[in-house]
Amino acid sequence: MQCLKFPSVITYLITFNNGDVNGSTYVETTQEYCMPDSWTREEFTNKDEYIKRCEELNIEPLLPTEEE
Amino acid sequence: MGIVINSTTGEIDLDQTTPGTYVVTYTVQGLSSTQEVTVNAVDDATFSYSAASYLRTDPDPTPTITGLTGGTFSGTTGLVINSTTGEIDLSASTEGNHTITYNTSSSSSSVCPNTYTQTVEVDYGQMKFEVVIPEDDKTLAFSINARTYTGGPSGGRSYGWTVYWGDGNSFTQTATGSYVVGVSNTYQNAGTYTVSIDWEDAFNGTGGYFPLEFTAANKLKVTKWMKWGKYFRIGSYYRVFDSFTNMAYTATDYPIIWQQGGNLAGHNWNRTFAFNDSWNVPINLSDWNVSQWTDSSRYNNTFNSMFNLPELSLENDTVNNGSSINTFRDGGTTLDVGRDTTNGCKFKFNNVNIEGVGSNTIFGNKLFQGSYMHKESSFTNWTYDNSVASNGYGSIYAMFNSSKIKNLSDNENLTIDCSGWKDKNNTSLNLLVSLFGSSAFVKDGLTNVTGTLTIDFTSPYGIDLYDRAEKMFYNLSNSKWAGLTVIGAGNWTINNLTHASVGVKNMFYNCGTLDIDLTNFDFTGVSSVGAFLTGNTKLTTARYDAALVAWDNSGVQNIVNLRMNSSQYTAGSAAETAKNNLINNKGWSITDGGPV
Repeated sequence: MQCLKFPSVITYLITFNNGDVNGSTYVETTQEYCMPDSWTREEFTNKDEYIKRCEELNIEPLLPTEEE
Repeated sequence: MGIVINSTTGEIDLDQTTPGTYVVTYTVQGLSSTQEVTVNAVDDATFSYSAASYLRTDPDPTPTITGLTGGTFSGTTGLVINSTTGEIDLSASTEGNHTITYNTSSSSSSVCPNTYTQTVEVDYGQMKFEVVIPEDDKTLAFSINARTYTGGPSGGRSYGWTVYWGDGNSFTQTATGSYVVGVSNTYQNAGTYTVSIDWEDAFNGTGGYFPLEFTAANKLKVTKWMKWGKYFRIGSYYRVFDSFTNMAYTATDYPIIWQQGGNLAGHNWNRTFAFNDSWNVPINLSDWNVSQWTDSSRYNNTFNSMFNLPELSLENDTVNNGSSINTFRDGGTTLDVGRDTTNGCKFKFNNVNIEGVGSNTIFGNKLFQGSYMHKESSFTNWTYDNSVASNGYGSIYAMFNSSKIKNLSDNENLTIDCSGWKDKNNTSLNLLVSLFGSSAFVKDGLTNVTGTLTIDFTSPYGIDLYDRAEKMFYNLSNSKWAGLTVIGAGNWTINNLTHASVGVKNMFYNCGTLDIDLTNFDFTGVSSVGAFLTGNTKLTTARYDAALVAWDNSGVQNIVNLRMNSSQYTAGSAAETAKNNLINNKGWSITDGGPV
């Protein structure tokens, strides 16, 4: 198990399993994210770069919910 | 008790002394004398009529004398009564409550005369309403419209009626066929008057429509609807009280429905009570045969804009799904009662059978959206006929969306009781619950974020959530709730939340401390688990511990990027072991708040 624990700033992740994209998520400063050892991930602290990368991978960038 | 006597004066307390014969002894300076005294019981003067109220067309009632016979009856002014038998001449008596007194003094058997009274109402059965006549316009006018119609009850139609204006004047009309009669009265003095209309027996309305037609100016003179009366029947309530903006409703009776007991389908209840912002007494639909409201086009806006309605009850009753959607909502979009922004409307929707479900939009859909609700509202034991819903589930989308709660204090908790819901076949209930409690249950007028909102969804056969539960509980912190407790979720199934993109997206957003049993949540196939718990929502550690262990034991695999937000599990516990096992061996990935 590998984890990203309590990052200093909100961090956006794109996860992969055997090279296939798994999905996107984010980790806030009070949170930890854990996934199997066999997975890989790309990390972003720049939201725009994260969104751009998701677009390249043709997946929806998961972002924190903003109050409507 | 015996005799109660003053030993000094010899006075006998007759009220306290048991009837009987006593020997009273008076002793002075060793000398005594005696006298025999008999204390008699008062006569039994009791009697009773068979009812407390009679129509003047009823047979004249004679009371049953249960006490001493041979006495004399009398009544208050206006009552015509046989002094010997007590028979009331109803048609000759004045309207109102009368006190009847029976006095035994004239009975040959009377020993100690007594009286007994009973109140009896002589009811003329008239329609009554109050008007206030202003100084600058002393004429009250309206039309009585008797339109020809077909399909009415056979026989006995009559158009006879008399209007009593309340100032001693009256107007009588007797005719047959269709007609419109304009009636008016010019009062000598401005003031408040009670107008009574004496409909001839079995007056059947006017083509099924409400026959009184007021101009806008005359509507404003009506200040109180006091009584429907006993003889008046109508089949359509279309905008009966529309724009009577000065009117309060004090009637405690209900109109006799045209073809009462028959099928009310086709009768028009559109906007019956619309725009009645003066209506201030509860409406109890349990007394009304709403199960016969089956034509959805005829019940739109029935309760539209009743700004001061304090209570709306629908209990132990059956509603037709198709019609009730529109009946209880404004234009089919939202319930438009419960606009009392001071006290809220107390909704009592309990033990309701919802029949005729044929679409996915079902009773409950947007039903209380935007309403101001009294905190004592309840919604228990709803039974749906969902077996014929077109997609196999019904939508109660946005049922309480943007609702407000009144009468709460700052730190008070609140329970919304939705327990006992089921499918009529005694199976689990299939529901779409998106926006069910979105921006809902706002503690109106309060500023502090305190207290716990509890939703009781205890269900005897469980609830199957279908399609999407997006924003089921959304932004409750903004509604000033510090936490949310959901009861009954252990009996939910969620793996039909397979909407293409928003299955559980923001299902719990900004709910604060969340107390819910997730042990039975199977996320297999569920979409948007990455936004399951969001905002400030944090599951209690006890609930998260239990959920992790249950999920691990369930064997469910490959739940990717489940967002548990900042929820924390107990360090070194079985829950931590379970989480590690889910991730290491079952292909899960989870965002949470780590161990505590």
